[in-house]
Amino acid sequence: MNNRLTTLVAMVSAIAALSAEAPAQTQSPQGAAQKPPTTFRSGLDVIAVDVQVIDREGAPITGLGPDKFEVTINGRRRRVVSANLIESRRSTTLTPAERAAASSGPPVIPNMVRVVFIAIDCLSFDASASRHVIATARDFIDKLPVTDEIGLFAYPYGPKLNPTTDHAAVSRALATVLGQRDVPSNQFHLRPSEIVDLSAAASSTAPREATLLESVVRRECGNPPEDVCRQRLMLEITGTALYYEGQGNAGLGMLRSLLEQINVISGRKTLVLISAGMMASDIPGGRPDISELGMQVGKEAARSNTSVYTLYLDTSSIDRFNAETRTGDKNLQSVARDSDVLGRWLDQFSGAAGGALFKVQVGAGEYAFDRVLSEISAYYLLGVEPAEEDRDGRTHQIKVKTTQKNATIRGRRWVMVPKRDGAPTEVASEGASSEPARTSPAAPPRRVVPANVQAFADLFDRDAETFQRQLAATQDLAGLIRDFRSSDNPWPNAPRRTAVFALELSIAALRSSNGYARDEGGRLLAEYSVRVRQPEAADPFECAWLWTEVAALQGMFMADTAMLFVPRAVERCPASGRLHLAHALVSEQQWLRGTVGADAEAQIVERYQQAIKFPDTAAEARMRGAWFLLRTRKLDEALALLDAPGAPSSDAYVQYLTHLVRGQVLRARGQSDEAAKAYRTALATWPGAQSAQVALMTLLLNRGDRQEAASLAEAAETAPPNQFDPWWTYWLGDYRVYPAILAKLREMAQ
Amino acid sequence: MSGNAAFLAVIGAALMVGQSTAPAPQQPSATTFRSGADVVSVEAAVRREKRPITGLKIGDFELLDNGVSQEITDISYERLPIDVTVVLDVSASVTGPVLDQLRQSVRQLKSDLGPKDRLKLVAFNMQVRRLADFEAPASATDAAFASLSGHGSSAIFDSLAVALATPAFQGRRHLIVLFSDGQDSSSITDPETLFDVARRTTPTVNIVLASAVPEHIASPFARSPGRPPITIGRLYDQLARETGGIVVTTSPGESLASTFRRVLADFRSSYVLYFTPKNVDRTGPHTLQVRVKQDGAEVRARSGYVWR
Repeated sequence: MNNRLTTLVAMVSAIAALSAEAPAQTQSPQGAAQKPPTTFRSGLDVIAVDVQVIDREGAPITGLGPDKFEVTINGRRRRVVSANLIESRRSTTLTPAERAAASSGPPVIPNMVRVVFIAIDCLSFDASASRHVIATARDFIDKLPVTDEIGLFAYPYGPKLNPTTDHAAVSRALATVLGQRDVPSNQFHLRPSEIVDLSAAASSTAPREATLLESVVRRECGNPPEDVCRQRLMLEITGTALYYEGQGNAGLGMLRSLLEQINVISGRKTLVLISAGMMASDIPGGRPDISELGMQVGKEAARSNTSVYTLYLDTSSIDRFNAETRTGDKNLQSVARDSDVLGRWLDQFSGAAGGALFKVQVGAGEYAFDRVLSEISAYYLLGVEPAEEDRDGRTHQIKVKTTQKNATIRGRRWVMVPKRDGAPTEVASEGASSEPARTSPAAPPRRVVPANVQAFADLFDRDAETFQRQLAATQDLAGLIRDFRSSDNPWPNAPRRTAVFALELSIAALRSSNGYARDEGGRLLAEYSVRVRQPEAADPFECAWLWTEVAALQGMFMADTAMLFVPRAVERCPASGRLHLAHALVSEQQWLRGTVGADAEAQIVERYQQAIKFPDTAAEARMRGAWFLLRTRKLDEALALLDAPGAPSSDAYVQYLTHLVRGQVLRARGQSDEAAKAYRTALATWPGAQSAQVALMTLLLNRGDRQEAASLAEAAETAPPNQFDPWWTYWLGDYRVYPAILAKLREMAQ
Repeated sequence: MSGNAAFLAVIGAALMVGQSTAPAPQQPSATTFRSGADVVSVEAAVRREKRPITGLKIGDFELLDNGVSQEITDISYERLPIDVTVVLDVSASVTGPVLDQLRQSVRQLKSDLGPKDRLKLVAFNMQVRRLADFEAPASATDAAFASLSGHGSSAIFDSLAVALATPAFQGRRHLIVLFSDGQDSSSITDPETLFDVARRTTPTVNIVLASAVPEHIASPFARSPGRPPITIGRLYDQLARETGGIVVTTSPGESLASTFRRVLADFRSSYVLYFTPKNVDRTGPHTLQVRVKQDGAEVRARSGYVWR
């Protein structure tokens, strides 16, 4: 049953009963049943459409009758039966002019209770920027009538309070909100608009885009640019776009959850979204591309009968002096474009929701908050007669206009009219017997979990191995991920399980040969990297999730993709030696691909040194560090690292590789006897391992000992098929134990 | 093992110098040399406009060892039996249809061999595995294919090193045919070590690259600072030069069987020249140059060998 319409109809009914003395009704967050006195009109089915009509200053325009409104559904005009002003202020607060206008016009229902949600997009602010706007938001709360219920939703991490009349509690909680802006540590100095434009240019063959791309390449890489620099720049564009897509999707997903919760609450609600912007493409082919989800969330807001006010605290003019962009393009046109790119989604969202966007470039939004206060102080509830064709239970576009001059209308853009045989309480029927004006709302209308997502969710719960196998065999992983993201969560009360499911889905997609699937996999991974975060320090589940993620990324040898996630994982879980070691290994994987700068070698060594500080990774980090030093021809340092004091690993895998690496280092130093000895020790540690056999064989050949070399060749060729060699998984890092890591994570999610 | 005994198998086939028909020895000889005569054998393919030139005599050749002209003591053409080691990449990049083609190609290759020729089958992903030895019946080769599936990473360099290090058989020529997409992902052996092994051993390596991109890096793990990473094209060209072999790149839809037949025919139609190095320091690496005193004649031979 559609609760939104139930409520609206109830209100239409209430107004139709002209109960001017209707007392203030307090709604609980869960929309506990309230029953204002009401009767239903008979013979005529109408739907309720609420609109705000404001003047240029944002003050509600009063005294408008139904004849002043034009309503179309799907572009076809519908009759407006009634127009009633719902006044939130106490009648005594009305000015004489307003009182006179109200008296001469349709009835005014004073003192209607409102529910106001304050949502704060914490990821868009840094800590200092958030402080001022939070203070202003607290002032805003102080100005709301005590009868208003106020909810708080700081996301992704921050206080979340159900609507309450305890304004002081909300204000206190609000004071704890901190900006958590997380800017990727980038090599280049790219503006938000450049990331959008260049991501589009990278996939375009148009000369204009190519020129733009070249100019940025020259600015960042010099002229003529080095190939490695160009390659790094392109990777950074893609990576940054992917990162912001993930962050945007996480933020929007949470906002959508809020709207679903708001849906439960009866009547007209107001959502004040405070954000410093979210990078989103405003051109075809550009990235980050979050428009699809953005539109969905906007529609969700429209369906939830919520007035959306977005306060966009535009910091782009300040950001141009930030370190990340300090040598980038700083002209005013670019700054304006950045502002558009960051605010575009907010504008779309507000528009789709029938709300308004206030761009705040100076101050902390005082004017905008005052304007919101003014605008939401009253609204009209229109009784609109739908046509039969509208009654199909589907969502239709609705447009409300007024013939009143100099007026702005804010209202919903979408409406759903139930079928006639649908729930009878969803329409007001003239002549119907008196019915409760407000019924207890049903459970919120949930998004449907698509069959394919549900099937995989069931499999995920039932049989991990089959789930993974079928996931790998799925042809349309991109579609599955899109369905998962846009549908309801198969486990609404088990966020950890959802996070593990999302992780496995992402990894399967990243491993796919399909580019679309890899793209969606990256987005989903980025989204859930944000979603699993705890408000403050990471908890064991978050660290386990990140380790599992990082282990999988190591195993895919997608170093550039991995580097989007691994440093953040290390930041979140700095006490994890395994994450430090993974950071070093992935950095080395990047180095192997030749996509890093000249300073990378020192960084890689430093990262191995970090991992050496942890007892559980020290031996392995020494071994891997020595291998890297060997590759960079720092043979003395490599040997010194292997000989450094420290407990040897108890893991035969690490022991074997340590002997093998020692052999390689000694061989490179020309110490062939010692090298041969090291290879033999490796073979004693892991009998039959092919790498040590072959290394010893080539060494012996080089020394002229063909006979033993031939024996080793024979042994290698005739080894049993199940003979394992640790070297084969050297570059996979922790992926070698991925099944065990994943199984543990699954356990933690139960 | 003495210094002489350790001298590499480039010399292995030299034992048969002067013999018009080869015996069919079944015992490997890792350290073969003729007593009192340190003879080196060199395979030389001679072509004019891509067609083999036949009927050449010793006097038609000129051979330089480290730049010093050497006396060729004997020559052989299509007389010695051939051992063919087929080294097949069965890593994840090799899919079912390719495996089917490989099965047919190896079967074809086997039927193209002479009565005294032999075939050994080695497959590898990260692990090198002998599927059928020289003496195995044809049915064993077929059965081995039935057990194959493409999976895992590929240790091309390790597998080639193992194939090269396998001892030479007296009186037989040894051809290694590598089939792969060319990109190594799990060898401990790096390209330089592989070249070193190639210089110290006798087999000719003919390389069949399927779906290979010559500009791609031959091994993502073999990077050395200060040097550009070696590409597939460069690596296999150099390996072919070191061993006197050829590189054939197949394209999708091309018959693998005919490619295998071509590389065998190329090897078969090569001369084997024998000489005993004189007036050169025998230790260390030697460069070889082989020429034919005929207009338009092109010679392909290994670029050198290592004497210890």
